Formats: sequence, C-alpha cells, structure tokens
Amino acid sequence: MARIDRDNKIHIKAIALDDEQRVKVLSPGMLVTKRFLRNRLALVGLIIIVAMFVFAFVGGIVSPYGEREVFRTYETALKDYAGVSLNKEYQYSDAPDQEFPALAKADMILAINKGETSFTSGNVTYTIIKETENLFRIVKLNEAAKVITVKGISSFNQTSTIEFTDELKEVCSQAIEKKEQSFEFEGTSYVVTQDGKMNVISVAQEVSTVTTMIFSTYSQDTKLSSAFKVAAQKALAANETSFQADGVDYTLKTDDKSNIFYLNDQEYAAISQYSINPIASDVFLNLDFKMAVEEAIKKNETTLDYINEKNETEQYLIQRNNEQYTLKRELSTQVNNTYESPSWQHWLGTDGNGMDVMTRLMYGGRISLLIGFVVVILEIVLGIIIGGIAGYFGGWIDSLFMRIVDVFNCIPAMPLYIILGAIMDFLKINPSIRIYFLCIILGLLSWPQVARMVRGQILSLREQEFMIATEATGLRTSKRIFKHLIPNVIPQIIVMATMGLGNVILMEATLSFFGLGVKYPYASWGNIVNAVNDIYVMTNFWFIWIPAGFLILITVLGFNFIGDGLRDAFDPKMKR
Amino acid sequence: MRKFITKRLLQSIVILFFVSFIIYGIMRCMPSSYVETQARALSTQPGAKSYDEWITQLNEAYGLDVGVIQGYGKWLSKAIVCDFGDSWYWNVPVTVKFGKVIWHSFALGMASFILEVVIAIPLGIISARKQYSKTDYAVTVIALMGISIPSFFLATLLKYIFSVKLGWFDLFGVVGRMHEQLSPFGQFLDVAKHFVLPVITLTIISMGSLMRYTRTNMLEVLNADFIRTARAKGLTEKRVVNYHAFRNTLIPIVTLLGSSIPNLFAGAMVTETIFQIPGIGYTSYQSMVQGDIPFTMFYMVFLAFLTLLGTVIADVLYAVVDPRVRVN
Repeated sequence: MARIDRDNKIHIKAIALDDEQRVKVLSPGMLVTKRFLRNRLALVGLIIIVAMFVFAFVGGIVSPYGEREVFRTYETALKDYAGVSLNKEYQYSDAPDQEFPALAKADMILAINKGETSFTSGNVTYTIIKETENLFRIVKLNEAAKVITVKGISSFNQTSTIEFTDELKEVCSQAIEKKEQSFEFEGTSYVVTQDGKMNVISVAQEVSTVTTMIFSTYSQDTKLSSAFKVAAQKALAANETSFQADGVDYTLKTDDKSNIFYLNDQEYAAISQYSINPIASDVFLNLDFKMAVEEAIKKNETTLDYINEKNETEQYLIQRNNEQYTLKRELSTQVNNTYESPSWQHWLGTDGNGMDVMTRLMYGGRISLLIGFVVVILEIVLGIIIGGIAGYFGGWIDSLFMRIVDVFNCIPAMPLYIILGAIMDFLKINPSIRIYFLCIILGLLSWPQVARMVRGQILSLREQEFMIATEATGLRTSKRIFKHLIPNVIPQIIVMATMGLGNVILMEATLSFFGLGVKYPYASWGNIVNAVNDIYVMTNFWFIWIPAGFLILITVLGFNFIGDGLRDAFDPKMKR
Repeated sequence: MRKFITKRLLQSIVILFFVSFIIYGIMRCMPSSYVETQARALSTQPGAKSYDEWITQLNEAYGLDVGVIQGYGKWLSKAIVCDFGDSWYWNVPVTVKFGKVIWHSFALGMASFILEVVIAIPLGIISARKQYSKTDYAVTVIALMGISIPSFFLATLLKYIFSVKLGWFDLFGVVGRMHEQLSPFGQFLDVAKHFVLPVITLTIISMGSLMRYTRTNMLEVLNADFIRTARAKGLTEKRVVNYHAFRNTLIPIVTLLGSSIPNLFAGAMVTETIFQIPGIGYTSYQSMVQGDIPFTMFYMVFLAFLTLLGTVIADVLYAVVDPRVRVN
C-alpha cells in the first residue's frame, strides 16, 4: 500500500493477499443493517416508530398539561335564585330557656282557629294572648291572686308570694272593669281569667311569640330578639312610630310599600308577609332586593330589573306557581370544558371529560407502547423456553409440549379477553393494576406461535454439525440450547417480535375500545377512540377519535414495515 | 392417507376435550351476575320465594352448584348430544339461537371471503412479478395498511364517511325502516345494502395477509429452477407466469384458503358489534357482556372446534394438492 506524506516521500508497505485491509469484511450484523437501511419502507417504518416514541415519551414531558388534568369553564344557565311565598305558617320565636314543643304548637293552631284563649297540651295549660291579627303570645300562667268584685269594689285574695301594691291593684281593677284579657305592669304581663264569679289574676310567663309576619334584617349578622319582635309588631298594630324593646329605642316608619324599623336612624329590620329565601345557602338577600321583589309580585309583574349596590342591573324572571313564586336568574356555573374545538390552547380540543386530547394521546401512546413491549417480551421468553425445550429434546416431551401449544392455540383469544375483562370489571380491579393483568393475559395467550416457530427451527438446527461439536465438547444441555441453538433462531424471533408488537398494540386498542382493556382515568389510544360509541361524539367531534385511530394505524404500520424490512434483510435469499 | 386423517381427527378430539375443559374452568370464574339479577327479579314478584331460595334453585338448574370437574362432566355429557342448554340471556336453547344468527355471519364472511380472494390473489401475483417496482411498493403498503388498521377504527371511519357525511347507508342493523313493506326482492336488496360497509371493512382487513402470502409464495416459485427451464425453453412470459408459476403457487394458497373456510362461520365479533349485525359475533358479544354462560361456553367451544377443523383441513388439503406429500 502506498502512502504519500507531506514531504512528498512515498512509503510503501507490503500487504498479504488475505489482509483485512484488502478485503473489506462486513460483520453479519453490518450486512443486515445495510440491507435493512436500503429498504425504503423499512426506513419509513423506523422513522414512524422513532417519531412515535418521541411523541409519547418526550411529548408527555413537554406538554404543559397533565394526563388527568380537567379543564373547566363557565357557562350561563337560567337557574332558580330565590323562592317567594305569601307566608301563612306561624313563625315561633321562643323565649329564652323556654320550650314550646311541637305537639303544643299543633294544639295551639287548633285553639287559634277555634278562637279559644287557652289550651292544654301535655299537662301544661297555655294561654293565648292575641296582640294583633297576626301576632299571638303564648304564655304559661302562675296564679297570683283571686279577685272578687262586688259593686265596683275589688277585694284581692293573694295566692302567691307576689305582693299586690295599691298601684297594681288599681291597674288590675281597671282591667277587670274594661274586661281586658291581659294587662302589663312594670314590665310584667298579667292575665285575667274568669273563674265563676271570681277573676283570677295570674302572672304570665312568656313561652313563645307566634306570628305569620316575617322579619328580615338589613345586615347579615343581626339576630332579632323575641322581645323586639313582639314590641315591633305591637307598635305596628297600634300605628305607633316608636317603641322600646330590651331597653333600646327603635323608630318605625310605615308606608303602603313597607314597614321598616330604625335603630339610631339606621335601617335595622323590616317586616313583611312574604317570605323570600335564597335557593343557595351562601347567598344573603338584602332588604332592598326583598322589597323590590315584593313590589313586583304585588304588581303581578313577571320580570324584575334590580339595581344592586354596584349600580349594575340584574335581571330576574318571576314565575308564579299557585301561592309560590320562583325567582330565576342567569347564573354562570363552572362546568367541565367538554368537546372544545381545536384551538391554540388545545391543539386537538378537549374530550368528554374536559381533558386535553393531545396530551391524552401522548400518555396513551406511552401505555400502548409499553404494553406492547412488555407483552412481546413475555411471549418471546415463554415461547423460547417452551419451544427450545420441546425442539431440543424431541420425543415425548416434544409431543406433550406441542399438544399444550395446540390447546393454547385453540382457545379463542378475543372472547377470552372479553370474559376476563368482564371478570376484572366485576372484581373492580384498580385501573393501574389492571394494566399489569392485561399484559400478563395478552402475553400468556400469544406465546404458542413463538414456541412453534422456535421448535421448528431448532428441530432442523440440532441435526447440524456444530451441534455435534457442542456435544463432543461436553457442554451443559442448557448451554447448548440457549447459547448455541437459540442465537441461530434470533433473526426469526426479532422479525416475529416486531410484527408481534403491532399485533399486541392492535389487540390492546381493540380491548380498550370495548372498554375492557385500559380503563379511565388512564389513557390509551383504544379507549380514546371508545368515545365514538356515542354517535353524537362520532358525528360532531372528529378531532377526538380520528387522531387516536390514525396513531394506532401508523404505529402498527411502522412496526410492520420494520418487521418486513428485517425479514428481507435477514433472509437475502428472497431477493433476486 | 386414511390412517393419517384418523390420527389427526383423534388428536383434535383430545385437544378439544382439554380446550373445552379450560374454557369451562374460566367460564365458572365469570361474574354470575345474571343469575343473581334473575333471582332478585323473581323474588320481587308477589308471593314469590325468597331470594336465597331462588338463587339455589337457579344455580341448580344451571349446574353451578357442583364443583368445576363435576360441572364439566355434566356439561360434556349433554354437549356430546348437541344439547348446550338454554341461553340465559336469549331465553331459548343455545342451538336455536345459534341457528338463527349464524347465517348472517356466514353471509358476511362469505361475501368478504370471495372479495378477498378476487382482489388479493391477482394483486399478490402482480406485485411478485414486478418485484421492487412502484406497483409492488403500492401493493405492499396497501397490504400492510390493511393488516395494521384497527377494525373498529376502519369501521367507524367508513360509517363516518358513508353513513354520516354522505348518508348512503344506515349506521346500524341489517334492515331498513321500511323493510316490512318491501317486496321479497326489495327486502333482499335492503339487507344487502346494510351488508356493504361491514363487508368492505372485513375485506380490507383480511385482504392484506392473503396478498402478502400470495406474493411471498409467487416469488418463491418464480425463483425456482423449473421456471428458469421454462423460460429457457422459450415460453412466453405470460405462459410461464400463468401456467407454470401460478399453478405451483396454488398449492400453499389453496391450503390456506381451505383451512380458512371454517372461519367463515366464526363471525367477526368487532365488526358485527360495531355495525350491530345480529350474527354470531354480535350475539356472543352481548351474551358475554351479560354473563350468559351457556351461550358463551358454546361459542368458545365452537370457535375452538373451527380452529381445529381448519388445521385438519389444511393438513389434508396439503396432501391432496401436493402429490409429493402423499408419497411420504
């Protein structure tokens, strides 16, 4: 070989005829690679698969969204906002440390309807003091004195420890004369009842105040005391403009629209016959709004434009249903952003659960590819072991193993997967564990073909001279099978594995399509296409199912191209 | 020859025995929700027995009260005389339901089988004759695409294009809305129209492998010595290919086709389910989902039987078609 260096000196080196430098020797692996790369389809397949891996494994990392990230959006809908009714139910405000049982309440209503002034419920006698048309006070009586009035002169016969002063006696006599049912003196209520010719004066012990009027407060935290309620209603009935309750002065302003109570010139509360309650428990309806509603209802209007504190106009719809009114309002609610069309945020839109389809495709690709690899490795390992042993030993072992292979080969795969899927559904197996089960089931049912192929190859290989040589050198049986026989079957196994990958991905997709393979919340290409079981989705949202189906198609196609190319590359005899 | 066939048949029977046993074992693991639902429904009727009593009675009636081996024995003794019990879901004997639905599947299978043969074999031969030409690449790509496309996706795609977008076909079923009013011939056309999309789906999916198989075998034959001899003899290329090569390619192809004839009865579960064609595939899919053990059991054993039959036919056909095998 001649070589000319920089100084124009010629170096000559003699080489032998069989020098490695002279004959360019390619290793078998290189030969296969070269032949493989010459095949255009195989190259396309390789590119597809690499792209798919990048898409699934890198894409998942790059994607700004998570596999199970749900996108939400706001949607306006006409929703019930408040309910309004003309109140006819009695409202009870019990006095402190007093109990007014439900049974007594029922008895009280009966008594009021009959116009009686007292009733007995559960060994307790209650007296009803009618303050106004809508206001009653329920009291328990403690007898204080008996009064006999003869010719205008009352003689008091004290029956309790309460002392009857002259002033009290005076008030008492007046009340009896006027035939009043009750009177007040120094903050205590007294009740006069007739017992034959005698009048019995009793001290009234407040139990409860009963009214059909509804109080509403201006601010959310105001709690109205029962004393206030009683005093307020009395004042209202008496057309007074101010009154006192719990030692505080209130003023009352009344017009035909509303009755409002003021505390220190501040609006404090209002009273009305309408009960207005919000549907949602976290909403506080202010008085202005309530009064606006009342007015609208009284005018029989069906819509209400209310200007709120922020000077915004809120529109309400009033619907009447017998005595009930419902206020409806366009409210915006948060919902899953489902079936959104492709946009810059979501390149392939969102699916029925409001998840990003593109991201789901990436994660689905991961699962589909991983299942493919795990299953193929499982089936190859099983196939090599069983096929290798059967082929090498021959005889009865071979017959036995091959019958087992026949049996497995006869079991119809698809129905079996469906049944096992149904069993897993029944046992409510966790979706993540289910994926492993799926791998094992798919692997266990697909090894017979590999075993058959390995056995066939080994049957012919073991008769060859190199096997006799291994026997002569006294190698272990396991070493003979797995070191000398199996490597010779590797080309066929690689081809089978590549084609098998495609098949497994198809099978997994089909199962997931039927909802029996990979389950929500995990994504797989098959269960993304599953959305087409809803015809509405199929006809309207192509962007959900077509990309997923297309990805399955080109991935399987890629594996088949590679497998085909590899077969040609390993077996150049087929080429002319 | 007779000895060979007898041996294969006996072997098949033994395999079928074990396969059905395994299938029976798996079937017994199935959620027996159907029996429970049935018992619950029956026990709510006025004056009915309690749920527990019903479930014992139903389990007894369906042979679920004994162990797997005894249960299998019971099933087998009846199955031998073609009594596969009553279907739980369809409420008729399994064989009656089978007889009703099998012809839909057979028609579907037969139509796609004929189309497949008519399209795939010529294309395979062409692509082998012009190896590495554009035609060859095109055929290879089409064949591999047919193998690679998921049947459910293809079916949905066809439905989307032809039923939804173009409105040519119905989405589901085998009969149209006006089926009853049509004349017998019109009824036939109506059913045929509903079979178009499923047949196309099945043809595209199964075509690929036959195309590849034909191509591979044709290439092998074209590389053989006798073809070189025929050419050297001065025969026209047409005669070489159509007469000498094609006849020899027929050996493996006929074997393959013969062995796939039993599969015409197997039904295409995925395609039938998507198009809701009441063939054996769709019927058994519904049975499986509903936990109808007798019908599913029957279907699976039937499929195993078909597979074995296919293998036996392949072996026998191989001997029939190729005289060299017969001599050995």
